[in-house]
Amino acid sequence: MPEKSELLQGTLDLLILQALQSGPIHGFGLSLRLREMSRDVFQVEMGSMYPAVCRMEARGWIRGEWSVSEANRKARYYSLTPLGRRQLAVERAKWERLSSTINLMLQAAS
Amino acid sequence: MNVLRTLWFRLQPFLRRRKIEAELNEEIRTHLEMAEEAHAAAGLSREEARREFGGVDQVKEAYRDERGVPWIESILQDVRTAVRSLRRIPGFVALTLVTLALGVSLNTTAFSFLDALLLEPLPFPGLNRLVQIYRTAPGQLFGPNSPGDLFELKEQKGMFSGLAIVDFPTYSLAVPGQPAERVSAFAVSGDFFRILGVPPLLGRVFGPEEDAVGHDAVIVLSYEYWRRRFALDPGVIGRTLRMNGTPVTVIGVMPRPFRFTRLFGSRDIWKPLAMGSKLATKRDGRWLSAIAQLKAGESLAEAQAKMTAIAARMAKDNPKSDANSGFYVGPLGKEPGGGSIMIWMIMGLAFSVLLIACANLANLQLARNSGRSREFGIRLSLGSTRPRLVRQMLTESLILSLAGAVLGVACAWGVNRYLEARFAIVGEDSSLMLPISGRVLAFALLAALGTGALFGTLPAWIASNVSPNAAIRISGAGITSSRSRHRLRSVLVVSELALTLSLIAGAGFFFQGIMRYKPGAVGWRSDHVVTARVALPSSPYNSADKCLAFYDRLYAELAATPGVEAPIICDLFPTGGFYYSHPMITEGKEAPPSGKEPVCDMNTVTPGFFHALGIRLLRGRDFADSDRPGAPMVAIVNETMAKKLWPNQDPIGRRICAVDSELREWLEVVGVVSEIGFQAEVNTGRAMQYYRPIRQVGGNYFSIAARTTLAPEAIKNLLPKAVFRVDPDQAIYELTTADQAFEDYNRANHTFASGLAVLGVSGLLLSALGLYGVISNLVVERTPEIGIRIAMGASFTQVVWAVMRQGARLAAVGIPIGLFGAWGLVRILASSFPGSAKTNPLMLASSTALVLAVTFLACWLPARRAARMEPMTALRAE
Repeated sequence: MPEKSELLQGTLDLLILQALQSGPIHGFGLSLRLREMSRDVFQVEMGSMYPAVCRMEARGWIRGEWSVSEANRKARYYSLTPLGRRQLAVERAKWERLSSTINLMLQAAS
Repeated sequence: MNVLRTLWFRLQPFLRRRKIEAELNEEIRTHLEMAEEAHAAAGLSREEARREFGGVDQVKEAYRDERGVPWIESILQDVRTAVRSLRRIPGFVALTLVTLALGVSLNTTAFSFLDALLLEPLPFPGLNRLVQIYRTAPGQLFGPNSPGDLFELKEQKGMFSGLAIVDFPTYSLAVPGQPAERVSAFAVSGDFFRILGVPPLLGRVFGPEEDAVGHDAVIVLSYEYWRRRFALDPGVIGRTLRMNGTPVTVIGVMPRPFRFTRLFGSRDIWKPLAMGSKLATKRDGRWLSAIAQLKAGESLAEAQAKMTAIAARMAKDNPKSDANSGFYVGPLGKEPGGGSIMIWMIMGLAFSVLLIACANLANLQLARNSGRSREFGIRLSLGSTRPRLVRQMLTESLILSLAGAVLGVACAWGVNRYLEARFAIVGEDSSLMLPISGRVLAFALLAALGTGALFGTLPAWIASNVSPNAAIRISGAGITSSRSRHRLRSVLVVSELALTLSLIAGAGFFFQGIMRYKPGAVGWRSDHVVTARVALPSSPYNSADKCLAFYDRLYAELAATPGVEAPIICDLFPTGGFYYSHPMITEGKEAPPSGKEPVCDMNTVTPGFFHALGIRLLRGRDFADSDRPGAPMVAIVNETMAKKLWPNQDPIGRRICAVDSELREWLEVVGVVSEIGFQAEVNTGRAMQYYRPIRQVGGNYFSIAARTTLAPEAIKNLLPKAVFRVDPDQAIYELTTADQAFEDYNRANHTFASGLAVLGVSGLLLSALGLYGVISNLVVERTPEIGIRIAMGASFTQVVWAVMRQGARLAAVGIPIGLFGAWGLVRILASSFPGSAKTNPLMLASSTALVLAVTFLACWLPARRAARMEPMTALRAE
């Protein structure tokens, strides 16, 4: 099993937004999708994911609604709001700027 | 927008806590179920799924942190903890609440007085330009005015931009075809409504054109009277009612909060004050109030200066009536003179009770916290911080003080209703209103919260000063820095004792002052006497003959009434003192310079008056039925007057004359009677009094009375019947027994004095309780030591002294400080209320003795308990 890494501070929101882009999903599904997206490298703590979901719902980026799953089970499905889509773009740009800066710095140092 | 949405989202938990909690549980449960199924499908155990999820409670906690508003959450948590911990100690809570309720309600009531009498502004638009005009004279500060003086002022253009004369009469008002009822009225001159600037709610108000006699048959109703009598019917405008038997038209209704003065808060109607030429020049007799509007841009001081000049001119123009008199111009609605000092002082006394209560509560809190040091130590070692502990304890104090505020305001509300009834003016229903206004409520809340903060903070800070190590290792009390706790306690008790002594001295000062003005019959008998007032309207009773005929018939009716031993008709029944006093001159002697004549009190009476009231006839004869108009004018003087006017001479047959009477009638003295008085503790042998036969003087307003052999209550309803048989149109009012009348006069004073006594006693009781608590607590803490002492053979007295010494030390500091404060307070009071200083040292001494006695008792009880301890029980107490 690959070693689990801590998520970089502030990137969880970006990852959740990204994970929700492909459609509404419930909490368990979201945790699976986050793991898949990182190819099992990152372990997202539920103690971080749920508060983050809650925070983003408060900000109006995502919306949670009770609905019935394919296995006929009641679950809370989260989806991106238009505001969330815009936020995804913003976060993404921010991330790209940050990572390219760090890359530049690493190359300059070597 | 965004911020608002976030806030709304975060506030949801407070609004629908359960639903959100249930949704979170549901969501986590679904997640776990799905995870377990997925793991099972992959051949892994369910436990593995749960392990991977992590701690459910931690997730929930993290989620809640995100969901709620942290500081509100933690305050709510503090409140919940506080309520839980308070619930475990009902005794402490009850004692605290009773103390708080006592302190807060006393202060709320005191503040209601302050608010109603001094703070509440009168509801007039141009209040800052409105003034009240008082007449000042030697012995009468801020007195009423004579009609003549005011009429002259009113006619003098350029003094004020408006001046209104105000009288407070009562009338019989009847809806035609229905029985009449007595109404209280403001009779006001034409400028009144204009300068106050309040428009009527309905109809119109009257103005200067209705000031003239003959045009004044209009009235304006107060809102209260309109509601009570006419059920808010707007059709009342234009209706004709009968007032004192003559028709008057209702022209308007005033809005509800139209209060003109503070004390005569709710009178029923307004009526024009039409002054005929005779009244408009009358200067002997002052009973009218006056309000005026300052000219724009003129200051109070300028108006005062002008009025002082006018007073000097009036004194020159009318030396007989206006000499030595001045005018005082004060802002309308501001109590002039000592009244406001007194109210502030009472507030101060009440406040010191609150401070004493505060000290007590702090002591109580200290005692309670000393038992909690173990709890605090554990909490500190578990990572709680000292400010957090203090906050927790403060939350407890604030919850208690809020509950205390609620209780206190509820008590104050009841007390205020009671006081309103007790302060009702005799014979009228108008009274001082003491509502719990917004200001009063805010004050009560502030007082309670302030008390909570004060009695909570310091003990909390001291209690939280624990070393966690020590707290856990050692059990029981004595871990907190007991020295600072003991020092704080000593300071508290010392200040309580000092405050109490000052409080009792201050309350005692006023108490003494009030009790000196206790009305009562001196030199005559007020028992078994029923009395009432009659006011004959000027139509049809417009001549002396008609009044005389009424007296004669009524006198006969009263005399024939079964149970009546002696009937009386007089100008004013002696429970009310004397209405009139005149400067007198004597025949055959050189008249003293004008203004220096001896002033004598006068009453007009029927024959038999003196005998009926047990006033001794010392020389000469009583009045007779033959002393009527046309017969020689006669008078009966009292002993003092006889001695002063004719020293060592026989007064019978001498003649006297009132210098200010219109007719200059000479009266022949036919008898000498003993002096009568109306105040229990006032020296007699000074007042000059004389009497005239009522039939020779006349008058439409008079008192009737009857001495009965039966219980006075039994013939009370016979008086109205006697009047009815003479003239069915006439009603009587202020029907009461003489003793009851004195009691009524006394009632306000008694209430006031009892209020002061309540303040003093509450303070004393609270500080006794405080001292008792502290000494008891010391005894508990010293139980093992005392046990050893007793086991070693210490005697009862030795143990008692060992305990009492601690109390004595506190008293030795507190009482001198208190004595010093009390001495200063009484000196300040004595300078504000001259004529009260004589008995002050005695009062200070007795206050000190009282506090000492209570201190002794509060220490003696725990000391005795300590000395009677079984040594073995004491030793085992650890």
